[in-house]
Amino acid sequence: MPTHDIFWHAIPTAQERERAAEAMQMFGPRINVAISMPDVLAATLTASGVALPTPHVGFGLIDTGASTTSIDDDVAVALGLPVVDTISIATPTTVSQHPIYPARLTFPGTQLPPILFQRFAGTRLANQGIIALLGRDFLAGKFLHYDGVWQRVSLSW
Amino acid sequence: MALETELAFFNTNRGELVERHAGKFALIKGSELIDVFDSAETAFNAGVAHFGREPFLTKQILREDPVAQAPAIFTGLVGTGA
Repeated sequence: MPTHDIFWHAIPTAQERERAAEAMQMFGPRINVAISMPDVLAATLTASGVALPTPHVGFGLIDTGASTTSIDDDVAVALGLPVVDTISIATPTTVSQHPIYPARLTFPGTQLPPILFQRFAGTRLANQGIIALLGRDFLAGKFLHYDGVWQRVSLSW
Repeated sequence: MALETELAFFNTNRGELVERHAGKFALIKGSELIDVFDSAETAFNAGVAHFGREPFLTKQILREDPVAQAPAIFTGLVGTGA
């Protein structure tokens, strides 16, 4: 079963373990994410002779409290992703409307399988240093192991 | 609001759509139902094939729209964008 250890190397030294634990405490369980256009849209642009936007690379934070994965609105707009629907997102005190964008997600530097097409809610994430909030739909079909003793998180699938 | 016409059309016709196509995905342009599809991806692909980069709605046909949960927005980790 493939596993991705967040912040950890395969056989870390004591110093690397300490750095990894500090990073986990500071940033939470985050992984590299690249957001790009769905293939069919990219093919349409290419056929029209329009240059494809470069995939936007940043961090995705795993959030077991979020039912749905969302991506940063500004990134979606910069990539030219179309709004194809809307979704209500509830917090304990409010419900707000958000756009839904179709997109492709890959996870550079990991062996995590790409998400070739999915609808993602658009929210404002950039101020937190992330471009995606990876919710329980992302975790479906995966094991998430949180080791609070070593401040170590791993994903297996 | 984006897709205002399409969303209004969907909501006006939701009852009939649910009766006939519950769970499937509608492709709507303006006030016209183009077709229904088994998945969001096939609906989107058909929308791009028909309309290119023009706006269109792809929406799952459900009696009520689901509401996503994101408590982190409440705690301030994530902005609502509202």
